[in-house]
Amino acid sequence: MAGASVELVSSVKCFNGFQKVYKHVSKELNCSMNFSLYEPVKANPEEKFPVLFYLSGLTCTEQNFIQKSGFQRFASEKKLIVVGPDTSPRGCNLPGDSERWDFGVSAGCYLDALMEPWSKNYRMYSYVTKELTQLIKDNFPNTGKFGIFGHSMGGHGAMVIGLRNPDLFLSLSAFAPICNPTQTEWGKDVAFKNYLGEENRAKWNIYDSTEVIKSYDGPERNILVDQGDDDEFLNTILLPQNLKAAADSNPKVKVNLRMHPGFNHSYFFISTFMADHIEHHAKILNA
Amino acid sequence: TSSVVEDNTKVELVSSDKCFNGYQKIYKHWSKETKCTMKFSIYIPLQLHAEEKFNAIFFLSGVMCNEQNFIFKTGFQRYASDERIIFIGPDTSPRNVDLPGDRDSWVFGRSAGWYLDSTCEPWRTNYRMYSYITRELPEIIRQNFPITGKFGMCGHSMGGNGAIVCSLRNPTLFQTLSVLAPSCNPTSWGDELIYIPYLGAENRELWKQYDALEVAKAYKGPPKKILADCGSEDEYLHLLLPDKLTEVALVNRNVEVELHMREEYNHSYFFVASFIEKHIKYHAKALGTVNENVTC
Repeated sequence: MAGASVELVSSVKCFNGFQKVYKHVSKELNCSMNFSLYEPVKANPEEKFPVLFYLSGLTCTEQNFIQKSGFQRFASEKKLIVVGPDTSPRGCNLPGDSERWDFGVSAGCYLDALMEPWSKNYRMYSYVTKELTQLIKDNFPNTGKFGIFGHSMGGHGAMVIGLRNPDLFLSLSAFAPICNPTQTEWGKDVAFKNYLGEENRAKWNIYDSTEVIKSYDGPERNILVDQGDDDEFLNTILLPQNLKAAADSNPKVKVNLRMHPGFNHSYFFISTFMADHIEHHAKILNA
Repeated sequence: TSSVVEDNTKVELVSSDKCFNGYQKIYKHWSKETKCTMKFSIYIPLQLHAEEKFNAIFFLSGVMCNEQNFIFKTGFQRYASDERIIFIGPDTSPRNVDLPGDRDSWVFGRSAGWYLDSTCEPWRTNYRMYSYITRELPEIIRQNFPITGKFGMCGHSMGGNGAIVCSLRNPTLFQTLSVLAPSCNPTSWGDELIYIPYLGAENRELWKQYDALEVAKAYKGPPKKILADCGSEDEYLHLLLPDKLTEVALVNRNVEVELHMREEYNHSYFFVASFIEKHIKYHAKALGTVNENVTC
């Protein structure tokens, strides 16, 4: 079989499937990477499954999602493979990569960096869209139908990647996503400034889902977004109202933004609405 | 009468996160049993009206855990919310108490209190998890939270042994009982590691009071059922010994054991998450049929 190989790190039965973790050497990131993969039990040896990619937020590894979100029950019921990549390259030891919780290690932002010293390793956009999808196609029993979702920085990543690759990712949703990073202090002064550079301002918008929606002209997209109204990051970093406004002006993009009283940014929030998101994806991917 | 400090059941909120139709909270308090500050988690469904009260389940965790693991790794809140039941998750040992040797073994000391009252130095002052769980914490819950007074008990691994011991020794307090991958007979392997340091080599009769199998053998209370699930690929099966529990039920008519071995599951929280719904539904239904525990 052609394609890069993966090595099984662990496999544990969970509901009617197996929660696995794999590792591989990434060409895009130039380092060894882990990813989680939940695989339902096959009803017959020929069975193939749609694949849902989940992108995690700042400070996460490939472990948080599989331990804390409670998704496996629904992935098992709907018979979906769910893949959870890590949030940045690992072990690169670049100067400045561990000084902030919102930049560098565990904060790859799902973009391809243009500035030194990040550009050689911090290529999470290409990692997810080109390398990981190919790896899954080559190594796991998949139908070829992919969806993508995520939380926070991963919500940002899922929407940018999903909107820019509509033929690759057929379904799209997000939990408390960072919707308009180019309008936040974090984006302007830290993440985009350091990864992409001030001199490359013209290239920032392709990594901002609100901006991507404004110029989007592809197949119709239907994005489910759940957001807690007691979220500590709501007005400083997330800005879902900007996403909704952009979608309301573009007939090709529908954003179903559901605000939930009393919920915050945590995995307690994610787990509460996980069933709805899996259902959203399963309807499209199993069709 | 006791002093105000001795009877202090005051608790302080540490965190509160909305989860399903309720709140996952963590409280801390000074424990008179463990003589240190202890934390516990409590999941409280939203009250439909101000007078509403809930039945409550204690979940006892295994070695190496604290009050965090259960609330993040089992997904139980979905079912506690549906069944409208309070869930309390105590810690597994005294905290911030530094004693020599308390971190030498992952089955002893910190995060491994084994839900017993130690009689040996230097553990006996603080390592009183049996009294903490069966006397102090239920009273704290009664004083501070909207409960009916009906309690059930559930536990995983070391917490499975703890749940069986606490529930069978206090059958009218903890009326329903279920366990996941339970440690059923720890005195059969834990004499050097656990029982000699906590309870002393000369007092083997006392050990039996903290061993699920021994307590079940000697049990003479009202008929009690133990619902148990265990993975067939559990890496600790040779220490857990769940089959021994089913054997007791054959000779002691006061104890009924319903044990399910689950194909391919292991000891982890992935296993607990896969079966916690069944356990919660069991407690909810069973507690609905028992009378309220009348306590002072």
